[in-house]
Amino acid sequence: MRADATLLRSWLALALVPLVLFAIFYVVPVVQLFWLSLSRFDPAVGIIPAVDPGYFFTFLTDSYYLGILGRTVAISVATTIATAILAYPLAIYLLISKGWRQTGLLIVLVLPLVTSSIVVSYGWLILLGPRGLVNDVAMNLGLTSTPLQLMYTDTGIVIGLTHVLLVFMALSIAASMQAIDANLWKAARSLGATSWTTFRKVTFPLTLPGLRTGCLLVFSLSMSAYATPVLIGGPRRKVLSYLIYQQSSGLLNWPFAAAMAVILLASTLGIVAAVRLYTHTRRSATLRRAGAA
Amino acid sequence: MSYLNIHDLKVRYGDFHALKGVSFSVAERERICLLGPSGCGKTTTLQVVAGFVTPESGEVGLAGRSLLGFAPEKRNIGIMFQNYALFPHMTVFENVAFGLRMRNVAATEIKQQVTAALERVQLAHAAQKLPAMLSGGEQQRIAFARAVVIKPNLLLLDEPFSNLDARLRQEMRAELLELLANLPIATVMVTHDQEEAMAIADRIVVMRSGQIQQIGTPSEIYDTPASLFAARFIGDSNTFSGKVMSIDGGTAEIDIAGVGRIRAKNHGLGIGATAEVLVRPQRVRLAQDDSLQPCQNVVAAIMERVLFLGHRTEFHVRLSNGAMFIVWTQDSSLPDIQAGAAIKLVWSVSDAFAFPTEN
Repeated sequence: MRADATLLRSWLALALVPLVLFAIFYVVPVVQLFWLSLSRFDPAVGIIPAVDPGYFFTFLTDSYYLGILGRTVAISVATTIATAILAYPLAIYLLISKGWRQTGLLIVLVLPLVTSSIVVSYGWLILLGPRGLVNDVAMNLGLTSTPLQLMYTDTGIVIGLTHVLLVFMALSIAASMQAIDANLWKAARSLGATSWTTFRKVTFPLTLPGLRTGCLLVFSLSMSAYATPVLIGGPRRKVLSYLIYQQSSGLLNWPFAAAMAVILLASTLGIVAAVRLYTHTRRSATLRRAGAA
Repeated sequence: MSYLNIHDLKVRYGDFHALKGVSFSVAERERICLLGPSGCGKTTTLQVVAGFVTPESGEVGLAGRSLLGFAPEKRNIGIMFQNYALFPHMTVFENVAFGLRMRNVAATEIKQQVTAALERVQLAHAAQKLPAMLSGGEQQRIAFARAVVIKPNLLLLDEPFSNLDARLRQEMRAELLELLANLPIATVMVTHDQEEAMAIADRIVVMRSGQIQQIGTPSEIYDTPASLFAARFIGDSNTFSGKVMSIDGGTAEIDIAGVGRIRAKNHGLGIGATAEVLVRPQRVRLAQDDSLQPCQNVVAAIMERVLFLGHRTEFHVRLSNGAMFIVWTQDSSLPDIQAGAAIKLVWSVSDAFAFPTEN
């Protein structure tokens, strides 16, 4: 017992270092942000300390701001869904391939992460523009006669974000897929399930934990993404992070920027928590049903 | 007419020849066991029959129809996996119902058949539990119920007991025998455990490095092994090595250095060849006199120790060349033989097998 306690203490000591770092570099600024969001701003005077939720009120009653929040959420949801759909075949390929194919795919997946998102977004500018590769191919194939408007649209933003964030989804799903016993697939096939049915009835339900983690990562990263939506969406398709930038750097209204940052944080956490609560209730209901009999 | 026909099966993984022409057949309702060490190709054979591995050449026929070219889900073969492979996210009921659902059986029919299958394995009360809540033995029974509820044309058992400890293993073996007894389905089992194979199989296929060594009933293989490998793999034996001096019909006379000449059934040896002679421990009789009969081998030895093991008595004796020799007997009325006493080992010529030495 004493040895256990000593071990616990020594692990706590080790954990203390990152915990202190976390407190200094995350908790302190966030608390400060909260304080700031309750202050007032006068262009002539600057920041006036106060406890006044006025900026929250402004944001939440103005359809312009709410519309941008709505678009940010919609883009994030669309990106999450798009990455989830694309990640499954990738995860399966990642697991069944060996050697250089596997390494190659991993590099391709991680590449947009290790490249500056500005560079990646410029790449998409070239591909998605009216004379870009995507439109060239579409027009040459006769799919469309006039160039598709992809730049400066929400669709373009979703494409760009999906590209950058796909790796988080693919690796989360691949990790939970790897944990599945290969005999389960064989069992399902031998019992008469086609490979598609086996995926639906066995693989998919068993990768739900990985999917959940992937969705959490991709959704929160999409909500707070800045460079990709700004470069592909431009000033007319604003997302919340752009608005925050505009207020803080352009207009120097830090309290309003802080209020929007708090709203962004709260809505991200709120949606994630709601989804978790929902899936958790459903899972424990299943377990209760299973355990009751 | 045989039911499952496997003919000249060849499987290659890159440079590795997993199966080098395997042929055997299984009669209707017969239980066959593929037995061999790991890497002998027994599991590959099972995978080919199930449809998870495509052979390079050869044929697998079931009831006169070729199985090759059919996807695993079209073969109607029940498989019980080594680790049971129960779906962890489904209840016991859903696990057993899975195959029936895939066959679009009506819901009321499914309920009835699954309940009946669960009753047969005495787990009807666990229907709504998740597999993780069950013991290993219970999981195995669910896996069995799931494999047979679809009324398969063939049942495959993949190392059914290798996950269990020795005591549970015996229990489960008895239980599986009970379940199989009421099941008129041809069964192919894979194992590396000879005792398991002998307990369950009607016939055993002994395999080694992608080839079949011998096919026969457990007693045939035990009493008349066709190769040194089969003899060693199934049952315990005492081994001598020596040189073939003469051959008379099916009997070879072998000179064992330091022991003398013994005679044994010849399996492909020529005069002058180096031979390996095997004798089963319970085929040997201990004698204290010199009453030699014409068809017997007699070897002198010194008693080292006597082990009383309850169901049998084991004698460890030392031969005149220093080698240890083991004799079993179930006869408890033996005269009391003290350690250090000089005795004679007697066994009939037909109980000794002489094989060419393997490197």
